[in-house]
Amino acid sequence: MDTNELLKGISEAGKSEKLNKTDVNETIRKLIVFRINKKVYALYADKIREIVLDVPLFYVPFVPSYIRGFINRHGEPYTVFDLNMLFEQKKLESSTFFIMNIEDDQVAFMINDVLEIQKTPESHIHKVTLRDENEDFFVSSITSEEGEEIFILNTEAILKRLERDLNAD
Amino acid sequence: MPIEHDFLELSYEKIGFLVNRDQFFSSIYLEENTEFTEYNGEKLFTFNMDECLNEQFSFESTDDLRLALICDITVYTKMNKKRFEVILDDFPEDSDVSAKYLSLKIGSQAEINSIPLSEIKMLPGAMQEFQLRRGILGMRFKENGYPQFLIDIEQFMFNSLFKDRIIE
Repeated sequence: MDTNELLKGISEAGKSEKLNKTDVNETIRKLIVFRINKKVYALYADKIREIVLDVPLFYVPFVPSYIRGFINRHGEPYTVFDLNMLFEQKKLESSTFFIMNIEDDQVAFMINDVLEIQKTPESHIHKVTLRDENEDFFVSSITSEEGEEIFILNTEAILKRLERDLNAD
Repeated sequence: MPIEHDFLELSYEKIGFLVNRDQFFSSIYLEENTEFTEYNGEKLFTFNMDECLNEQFSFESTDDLRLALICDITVYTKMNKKRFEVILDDFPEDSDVSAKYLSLKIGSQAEINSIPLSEIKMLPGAMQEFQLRRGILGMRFKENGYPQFLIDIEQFMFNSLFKDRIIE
């Protein structure tokens, strides 16, 4: 190995080590990928406490149309959001819910089904520039194996929307 | 010992309601379905609470309305007293409707029970304050899984009567 080859070797080894270090340090985010009607969305796994099936829904008056009522979890009422109604103005029929992990509220999202649990490197999560009526319901996105963009929901923005609608009434 | 309180339980097929016993002082059996309730020689404005609950909570009741709760208006909030004066103004001067009491028609599936307060849950976060203003104070799920909503009958009634009306 001559000097040039030696220097090249040292340089390559350095780059490769740097690359490995980045891989090791990169945060891996766990995402729950799910379906609402025909659309696929994702949520960070830490936002969801549990998934419940076949739970009856009870109507509650005076609320916006995307609030479908309450469900009973261990004797406590949880406000059910119909995200299909919120995003697409179409009512979803389902008895599957995500119980959301929110400190000072009891909230459930109505969904169709969970498709997969994905572990995604942070670098594969893209910022979303799309704005739906000036609201940031979708915080970021990932690209599926089929090349489709899957939006990651912004739970805080969804809750803020309800707060705003209730205060406006 | 858990703290208990007396509530009137109104039962329907898949839903129920709780009313604070202290919000009415008497109940009477109605002989017929009339516009006014006769009570101790007084003619009382009669609000159909059963129909109002049916409409707001989207359920059907086939109940025959033979019970009425008698409520004392003098203990109502200033705003609701004012609202009641507006209601009375709608009647002719000689109609003789009581300014002290009113009557609420309810379904006949009703009984007073003592319930531990710990069984009644506040509504979740954002909904709490909003529904409180409309007279829904809390709820519990019964053993059969169906909900029972705790209703402030004063607030619930006046909200329904005045939802499209502004009182100066």
